[in-house]
Formats: sequence, C-alpha cells, structure tokens
Amino acid sequence: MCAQLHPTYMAELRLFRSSKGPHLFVTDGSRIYDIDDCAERRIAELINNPPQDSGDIPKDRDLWDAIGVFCDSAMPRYIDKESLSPPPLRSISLNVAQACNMGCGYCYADTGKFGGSARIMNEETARIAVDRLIAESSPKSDIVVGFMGGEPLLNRRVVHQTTRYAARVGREAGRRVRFSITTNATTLQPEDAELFAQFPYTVTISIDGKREQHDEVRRMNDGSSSYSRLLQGLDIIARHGRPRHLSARVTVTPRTGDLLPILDHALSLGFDEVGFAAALVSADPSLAFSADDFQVFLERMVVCGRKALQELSAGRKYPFGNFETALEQIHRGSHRPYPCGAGAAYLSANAEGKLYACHRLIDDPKFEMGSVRLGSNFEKRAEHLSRSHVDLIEPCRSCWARYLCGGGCYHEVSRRGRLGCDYIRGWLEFCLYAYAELSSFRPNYFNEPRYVWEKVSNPTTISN
Amino acid sequence: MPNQPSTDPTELKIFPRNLTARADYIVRGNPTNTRPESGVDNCFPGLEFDQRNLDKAFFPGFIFEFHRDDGAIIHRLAPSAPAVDSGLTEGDLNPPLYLWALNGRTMKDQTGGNIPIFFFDRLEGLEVWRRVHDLRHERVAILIGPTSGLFVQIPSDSIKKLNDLYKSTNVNSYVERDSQGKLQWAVFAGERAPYLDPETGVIDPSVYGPGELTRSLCVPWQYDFRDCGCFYWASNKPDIVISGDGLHEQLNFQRLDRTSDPPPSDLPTYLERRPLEISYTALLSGAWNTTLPSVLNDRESECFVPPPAPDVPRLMTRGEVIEELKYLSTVEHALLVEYLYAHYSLNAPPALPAIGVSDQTRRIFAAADEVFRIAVDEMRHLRWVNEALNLLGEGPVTDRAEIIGRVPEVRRPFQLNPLTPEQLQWFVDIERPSQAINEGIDGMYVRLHVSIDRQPALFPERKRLIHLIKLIIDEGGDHFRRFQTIQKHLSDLPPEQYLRPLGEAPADSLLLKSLLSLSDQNYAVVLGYLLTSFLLGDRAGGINIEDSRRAMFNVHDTNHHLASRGVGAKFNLPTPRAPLPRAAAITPEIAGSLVDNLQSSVEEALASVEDVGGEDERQLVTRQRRNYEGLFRQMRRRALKYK
Repeated sequence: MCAQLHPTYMAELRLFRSSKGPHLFVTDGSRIYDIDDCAERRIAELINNPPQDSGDIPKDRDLWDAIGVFCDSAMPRYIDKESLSPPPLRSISLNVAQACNMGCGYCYADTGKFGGSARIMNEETARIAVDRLIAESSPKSDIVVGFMGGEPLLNRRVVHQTTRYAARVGREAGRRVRFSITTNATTLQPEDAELFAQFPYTVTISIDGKREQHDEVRRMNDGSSSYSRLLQGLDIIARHGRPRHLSARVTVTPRTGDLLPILDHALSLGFDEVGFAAALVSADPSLAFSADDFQVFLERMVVCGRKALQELSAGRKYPFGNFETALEQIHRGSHRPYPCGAGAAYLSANAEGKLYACHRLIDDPKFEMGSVRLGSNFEKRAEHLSRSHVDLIEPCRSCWARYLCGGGCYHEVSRRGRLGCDYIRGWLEFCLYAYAELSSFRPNYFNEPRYVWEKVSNPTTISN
Repeated sequence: MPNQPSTDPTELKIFPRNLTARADYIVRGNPTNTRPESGVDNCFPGLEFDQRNLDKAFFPGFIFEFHRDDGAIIHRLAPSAPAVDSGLTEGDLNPPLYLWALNGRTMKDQTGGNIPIFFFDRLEGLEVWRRVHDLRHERVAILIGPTSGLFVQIPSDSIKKLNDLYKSTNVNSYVERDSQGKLQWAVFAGERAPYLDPETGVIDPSVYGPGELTRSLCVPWQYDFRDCGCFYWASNKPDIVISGDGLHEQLNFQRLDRTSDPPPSDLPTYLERRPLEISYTALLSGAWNTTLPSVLNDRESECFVPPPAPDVPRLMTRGEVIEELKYLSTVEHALLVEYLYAHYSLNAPPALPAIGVSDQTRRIFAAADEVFRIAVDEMRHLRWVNEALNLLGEGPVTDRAEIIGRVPEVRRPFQLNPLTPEQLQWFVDIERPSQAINEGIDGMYVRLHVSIDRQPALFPERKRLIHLIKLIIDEGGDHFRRFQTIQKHLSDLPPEQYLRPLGEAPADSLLLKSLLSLSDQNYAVVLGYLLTSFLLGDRAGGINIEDSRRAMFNVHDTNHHLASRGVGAKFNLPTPRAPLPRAAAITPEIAGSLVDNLQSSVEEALASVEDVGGEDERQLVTRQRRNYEGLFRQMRRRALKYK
C-alpha cells in the first residue's frame, strides 16, 4: 500500500471562476475544466467533506465518481512519487566572469564573487564545458550554452571564442546550439551586438525602472549612472544587430513601488519581453523581500496582469513575461514536481569549471555536482532530484499549486525558506482566471507562434 | 453518499479547457474535426466533403449549381418556391439563369451602408460559392439574369432594385421581362434557407436527397487516375507512366490509343485530354481490368511473371537453420571488414572538399563512398542475423568467418585485399542474386528462407524470422547492383590511379605503430558495442544508430589517417581479457566490466597516439575521446538493463 500522502481533495482540486462561470483546476496534470453550478457545488462539498476511507492520492475515477459523473477511465497519475532520474544535459551556463563592474545593493551573487574572490574563467575551461555539454547531452536534442556572472562581458574574449567554438563543434556533432547571456549592457560593444545577432542568442538585460529608479540601486562601481550606459548599450544593439530575443529583467525590492509604470517604460525601450523577479536573497538585507512585502507585490503584479489581459484580449501585443509564460504553461497544462531544470538537465560551471545545480548556487558545496573535466556527478544529481520531489516536501505536498510551482527556487528556499507561497498561489489563481478569460475571448492567442512557446517547452532555457 | 449521479441531463456538464484536460479524456462520438467547417478546405476536389453541395439550396425554392467555370446557375426550381408566385417558370431556366449579385450580411456588425453587395461578374462558380457560404442566416436578396457571369454587364437599375428589395419588409420579388416576355433579370429576397436541423445540428435530410451531398467527391478508390487535379492520389495510383519498353516517358495511363508507335503524348488540360482517354463508362464496365496493364515502378508491363520458386532439394531442420545463421553471422562480419579495407585502399579523401576537386577524384570518391555504404549495410545484416538468432533462442555471434562462400566459384579464405578489378569482381559474384541454392551469400539466405517459410510447425517465430531474412536478401540484390555501378565508375581508370598502396608500418615508426594499435582498439569497441547490444536482444530497443555511428566513426577516422600515410589497417580480432559472456549469464556487473575494459584499452591506445603524434593526431584523439565518452555512457546505461 502506498503511504498516505494527501488525505483530502484540497491538495488536488481548486475551484475558480471567470466570466464564463465556474472552473475546476485538477492538480495532477494541471487540467482545467469548465463546469456548471451543480458540479461546482458538488466539488465544493467534496473538498469540504472528503471521503474518510480514501487515504491515498485520489484517482480521477474517484473524483468523477464522487461528483456523480460517469467515467470509465482509470488512468494512472501524471505525476507519481518516483523521482526523476538525472536526464541527459541540455544546457550549461558558464560563469565566465565572477566579477562585476557594478555594485547593486541586492545582488544575490555578491557581484559574482559568491563570497569568494573575483576571478574569470579561462578559454580552455569554457571549451571543455562545451565539450562536456555535447558529451553528456542526448545526441538528438538541441543544447543551450549560457553566459552568466557577475558581468559576463567583462570576459568578452571568452564569450566570443566560446560561442564560435560551441557553434562549430555543435555543427560537427550534428547539434543545434543556442545561447543565452544575462548582462547589464553597460560595457556592450558593437562586436558583441554582432555576435548576438549572428548566433541564436537570447539576451537578457537588467533594468529596474526609469533613470532615477534604476540608478538608485544599480550603481556603477565608480558611482556613475548605469542607466545612461544601459541606453548606450541598447542603442548599439539597435544599430549593430539585434539578437533573436531581447528580454528585460526587473528586480523588485520592497522599495520599488508600482510596477505598471516600470513595465510600460521597459516595453517602450523595445524589449521583446519584460519580466519581474522579487529580490529574496540580497546582499543588503533592507532590499530583500519579507513575507509581508509579498502581499503588496501580488497586488502590483495583478495590476500589470490585468493590463496585459486587456491588451491581449484586444489582439494587441503586450509581452509581460511573467504573465505570458504563466498563461502558456497553464494552457499546456505544464506539470512537474521540480521548480526548474537545475541539477537535472541544467548545470552551471564556476570560473574553475566546477559544476553546480544552477548559476545562483555557484560555489555552494551543498549543490556541487561534479566538474566539466571529470563530468557531472550523476549520484549527486540523482540525490538532489530525489530530495527535491515536491510531493515529498512539507508544506508543498498539500498545496494545489505544487506542480505549477515545483516547490520554489532552490537558491531562495535554501537561504530564506518559503516566504512567497501565498504570493505564488495568488498569482497563479489570477493567471488561471486570466487564462479562462483569454482562451474564451481570444482562443487564437494560444495558436500563435511566440517566443514564449519555445521557452516554455524547453524548461532548461536559462532565465534570470 | 451525497453525490449520486444526477438524473437531470442538463446538470453536471464538464468541458475540458486546456490541452492536458482535452488530451486526458477520450470522448465518445465524432471528433470536432469531422465538422464541415474543419474539413480539408473541402471543395477542391472535395476529399471528404464538398461544401459547395451544402450551400446549393441557400435560397428558398432554388437549387443552385456552383460546379461550373462560368459562374453559378439555378439548376432547379422547387414547385413551392416563392419565386413561382412571381411568375418564374421552368421555361425561364433554359438557357440557364446565372446568379449575378447578392446583398446580405456576412458579419453581425455590418449595418447601413456597410452591408455588402457581392457582384459575381467574371467569377467562376467556386468563387461565387465562397461568398454565398459566408452569408448569415437572415434576409438576403439575389439578382439573377440569363447571361453568364463571365460576360455580363450588370444593369444599374437591377442593382438599385436589389438594394431596395433587401431593405423592403414586405416585397420579395421583382421580375423584368422584355416585350417578348423573355426574362431580362429578376430580384428575389428571402431568409437564407437553413440546412441543419435546429434540434440536432445535423444536416437536414429533408433538404438533401441521397447522393446529393457526395456527388462531386473524388472516387480515388475506383477509376480516378489522371483526373486527380491535385495529384493527391497519384502516389498510389498510376497516372503518368513509362511505356513497357522503357522508351517513352510521361504517358497518360488512361490513353485510349494503345497501339500507335510512338504512343500519344499526354495533354495538359482536361478538356483537350478527356476525349483521348478511355471513357468513364468503359472503365466502369471493366476496361481497367482488361485494357489497362499492370504498372510496376511507374512502368507499364504487359504481363507480370513471378520468378520461379527456388528449387530446394531438402528443407533444413531447426538445428541446421541455427547453425547456418551462426555461420552467416560470421560471414557478414568478414565481408564487412573486407569491404572496409577495400574502401581504405581507394585513393579518395574521407570527405569531398567543396571546391577544387578533379573529375577523377570525384569518381574515385563516389566509388569509395559506395563501398563504405555497403559495408555499413553489412553491419546492419550482422544485426539482423543476430536478431534472428535471438528469436530462435540463441546467443549472439560476433566471430569472423575464416572461409567465405560454399561453392568453389566464390569460396575462399577471409583476406584483406585492395579493391583491384579482380577483388571487385569477387564482390560482385559473392553478392549476385541467385535462385540457386548455396551459390553466393544470397543463395545461402534463400535456402534458409524457403526452409523456414515451408515449415511453420518447426518455426513458431516464422513471421518475424522471414521478415528479417527477406530484408537481407533484398539488400543483397541491391549490393550486387551497387558493386556493378562501382565497376562502371572505375572502368576506364587504371588501377594504379585509383588505388593507393597500403603497406606495413616501418618497424621504427612509433607513431604508425600506435595508430595501428588504436585502429585495433577502435575495431574492438565496435565489436564490443555490437555484442552488448545483441546480448540485450529486444531490451536494447534496437541498435542505436547514433551510437553505432559514433563507434564506426572512430574506426573510420583512424584507418583513413593510416591509409593516407600508406599503411593498411590490420583488423586484428581482439583477444578478450575475460571470456565473452553468454546471453543467459550476463548481469549488469559483467556488462559494466566489459565496457570498463573496452574503455581502458582504447584510452591506453589514444594516450599513446597523443604522446607520439603531432597536431593532427592530437585533434584526432580529441575528436575520438569526445565521441567515446558519449558512447561509453550510453553503453553503461544499457548495461543496467541486464537484469
């Protein structure tokens, strides 16, 4: 007999409403149904008074039987308690510069040093990392090489040479290689823009708002304005070559204020996508979110979400990344027992070539997973994945949103615990509502090809 | 239980919304993609449903015909048609009346001046239908007249009348005749006729008679050969063929004239072509069976004579079949190696540079490439033979035959020879298709095939066995032809021009010696890979193409390197460090240690090449290491399956 995991339906079902009427979200498989008032009433009863005799996770059959709908399907669950065996790699990010020309107060990476000394990755290590990725990935899959830091463009030569090397050996091995880089754009040169345009690059640039707001937290090491240099960087991109995808990442602190003006401002600068991330792990503790800050954050995110819903419903573009990604995942019914691909198909290398679960966990011995020279450590990856299965984690295993959320960022959880659960549920609940609306009033939205599809379908695309 | 099934049929409705919900539940009944609006844009030629038929009764009392190049006509007038009251008669329909224009909404938000009038002058029937199809189910007005839309000048007063009638609430018809009473034009207004049953949503059987909806569909399963305008069916029906003697191409399969020499050419347009083709009636009454010949490989043939069944003096027993397969496995292995060696003996680079290649190099390369491809096929044969052995409950055989061939003409010991004309002729002979038993390789398989096929009781695995053996026989015939092509490629070149000397390594060359040893280790990895895959049998999920490519790539890499330096690969068989495991006894540990041994031996050889080699060799070592790393990881993963 299986162990008792979910004694109630609370963790398996979520009722919500849109202008179309009541809907049901089924956690297993992230399925969404339109239901009528009668079904809504019965499911509410079921959630409030679950049958006492059923100790295990309810099967579909039990559910439909319980609300009185005939159903002969006895499908196994989409997600069981088996942890994922480490899959072949699909992406590695290279922390080519564990150093930065800026000193942002909230930097989780300690300006790239991760508590150690500033250093850069040499070319040989970067090449070996690429060879490692090709050797440890499935011969059939595309691969992604990411450049992170610190500020990766401080080690421009290695970024350029490694890109060309990866493209060449990838071609020889019959593989499609894509690239991503996260940069502050303050040192961006024409040749960088040309490189990003020549190879399939996703470029993510950090921007925190209009000039004053941005410069308040994102200062250059010499105290000068980084906003001016960011605009110069964007100008170089406009003139010398635009990457396939140019996205903006906004770090939100408790002092940030309203988000909608920031979103509109960043979109006005021509980004293909703009997304927010709350600062949870911050060098300056006053810039880190506390549990209370999340309530305000949720309200402000929903304001942006409503604007996006309105624009998308009217058939206009409004690439609010958090919103569009969530909607696509909900549409596809994305369900996974992990928050991201870290330690699974994604690893990150530090300047010396040691591998870690992700770029945020660089130099953290608890998440060390081999090295580019000796190979990834299969056992450690397996152990990480068996430890992190969301059905084994309290309080996640009794949360209806667990297969959409995956249990929260490993880095944030390991440093701060789970402060944002109510925010995540609130945001997802809003997105479920928005999905029901948009899919009713503009169903074609979900058939249009968009970059976000690629991102969603490839969980190892490196973001932030 | 509070939740009993509801007895109210309008209650407890559940509709899947997102993709996982939709994929989760199999709904009984026709899927949504069988609805008319989601068909394969169904009117030309109407693969599953011709919507033009559906809309032909769109106006009350009229049956239109849209299947015309010169516009849409009124085909029939219902006796109860409102138009009859306005004096329209059957006599007015001959010559036919055309639909000239119509007035009606296609979208809800069209009001006042935005309500469109569609003019149908210079439009063919299909185009007219497209406009009609979009009409909403509400009041429409139509303008008809006696001239084809292709030529008509629509009179302006008729347009005004059309507009007036559309807006009118009580007038529904107007007919304009000349002094002789001949109809000049007419305007009618009415509700667009429904064709779906309002209760059930299905097509209303009272609107359409049997056959009326399907009449214009393709009949590809019957006699639709050259007529298929979209070439959809041509992939499995003859339409354009080659004459029986192979002299004339692009002939119409349905041509009426089947005696002229040369036969008549096919004509591009339907109207030109149709009178020169066998009529549909003739086809229906049997001409397709009596007049039209069989077509094989696009070629007409007057008669098809199956080859005579091979004469097998005595069927083999199950034990003999197994022994023979074991022997054939070693033969496939031996041939694989002989072909590879012959490939390296040709004076061609492993890949052809994009520019600056002489015609001669190109020809030698083509020959070399073909030999290599045949060698790759042999590896596949080796796999199939081992699959056959596995089906028969036997362990794999990766040994190499010392003697090849059963009959004296082709029988000889295994040997590594350059691709001289004599060697090439021997390859042609050994691969020659044969109905006679025991000549060449093909003959050996033919005897197996017959023995298994005729003794179902002895071979319960017969169905799958026959399939495998048939594959090998078919590819063998292909090899015979391909070796002949190679003979053609090389026929007018003297052997000293296309061969390169492959000799021994000088005793003092450490580099060449280390490369030779690497070559042997590369070979050992291929054999080890095959063995571990064969041992897994069905559980291997077949040989992974990418993995075998990795293994073969390195063999090829080293041997080309050696050949370009005038040294031939040795293909020494590995001396196993431990006895090879038997299928039944293999465990993950044994398989794992097999992989370990292979890896350490090949790494030793790579390291020694790296030590004594220059830049070229270092690159070779890097390439091969990368390749092997992936391969050994896969092999280790597979090793875990031996449970």
